[in-house]
Amino acid sequence: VRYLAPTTLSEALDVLADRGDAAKVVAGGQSLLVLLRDRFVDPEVLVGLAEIEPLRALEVNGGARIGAMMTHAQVERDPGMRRGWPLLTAAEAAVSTMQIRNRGTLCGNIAHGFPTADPPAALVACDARVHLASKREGEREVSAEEFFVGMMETVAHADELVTAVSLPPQPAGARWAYLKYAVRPLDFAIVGVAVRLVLAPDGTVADARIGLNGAANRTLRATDAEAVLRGERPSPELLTRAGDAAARQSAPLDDIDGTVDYKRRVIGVYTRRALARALA
Amino acid sequence: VLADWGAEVIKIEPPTGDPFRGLFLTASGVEAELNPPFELDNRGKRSVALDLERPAARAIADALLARAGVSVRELDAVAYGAGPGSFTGLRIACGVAQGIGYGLMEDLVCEDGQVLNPHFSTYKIPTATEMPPIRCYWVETDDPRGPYGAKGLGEMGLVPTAAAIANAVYEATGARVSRIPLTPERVLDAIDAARQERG
Repeated sequence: VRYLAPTTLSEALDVLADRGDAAKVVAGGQSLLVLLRDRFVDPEVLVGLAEIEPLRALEVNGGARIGAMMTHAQVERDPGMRRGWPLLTAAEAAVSTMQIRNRGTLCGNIAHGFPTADPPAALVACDARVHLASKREGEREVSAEEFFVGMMETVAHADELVTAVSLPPQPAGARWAYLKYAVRPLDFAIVGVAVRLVLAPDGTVADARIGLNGAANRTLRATDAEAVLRGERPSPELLTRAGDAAARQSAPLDDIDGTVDYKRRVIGVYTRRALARALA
Repeated sequence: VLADWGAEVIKIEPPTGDPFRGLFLTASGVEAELNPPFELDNRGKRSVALDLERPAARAIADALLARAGVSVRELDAVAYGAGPGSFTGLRIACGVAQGIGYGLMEDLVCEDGQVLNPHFSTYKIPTATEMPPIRCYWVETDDPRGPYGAKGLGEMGLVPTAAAIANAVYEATGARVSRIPLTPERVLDAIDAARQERG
């Protein structure tokens, strides 16, 4: 395997345009190296992003833009991010161990498309956008909701690079919670629920966005649960109904973490609890 | 090492002396005045020989411990009873850690001859963040089959832990889980089954 270290985005995109699937991108390497070790992927070329200076940027200016080389730890600890997008920084803090947060990147995490990673649900709930670039199509952006397609599958083509994630300013007074269920804190989530709620002056739910990790082969937006909440006054009964709706909409995978029925049940309970925590 | 840093280190030895005093001589077969390994390990220390089975000797030991900043109690667990935080207690804690993994997490899943969880990310064992505080209480006894009544110590924390956890789940929920590890899903299933049985 050859390791290339381009110094400009254009050079990196050239390699991806030439080699397509035979090239794999390395940002923090925390997902890719596991795949290499297990021989799930067998690339001819590794394209390292570490020398591309513009990807090492985190701008907070009304909205936020997080470059492809920014680590989980850098996002989690940034004061501007903590003020403006506490839901995302909470989900970043839930990622695995400190060692992995120090090396792994947010963009690498989402490009990997693993349905039980922590940040994706928070990105969906925060209405984030994913920025892609390629020689063939130039730049484009998609919403986080559309970005995740299936198990380790995203809308990004083989010659496309995730260059950044951007976030709009969050609604004033938004309430939020990220609730993760895992056997150990360092594990991938069995279920992860990210909730963003906005209450109207009369106390009813003006807006609700809910992202679910572990609820399908990709990160899911719990639109049915959101519909249950909108316009209603929060009550224990309403939150239970929203949890039930999230469970019904889910299609979790049957794997070593648990059966479909069990995970559905956990999704219902954790959605209800995350809503209650956001409202507390 | 503590003595090298200027601490006053007092070592309590049995009336026959620390067995290590004679070990070099026995092993080398040389009748030497100097025992270099022992001298090296014990440099700067003072010693007192106490028969801890005698109340008067225990009173002296208690008085020494009462004014000591740090007590490191090893080897003499049987005669004195090592407390939590001692090296001996640490050995038990390690066994309990393994028992917690055995009882709650460690599950090798195979399908068609393939191990589905071949990594420590999926074959889970407790890490420092999962370990509860562990207190050791000593029951002093002897094993007639062991040399001088000695008994192995390291495994003892492992053997009963999984069963103790299963009993704790029963105590808390009324549900018997008869398969380890007690994953949350198995515990939930057992609670459901117990509820159904009760009607």
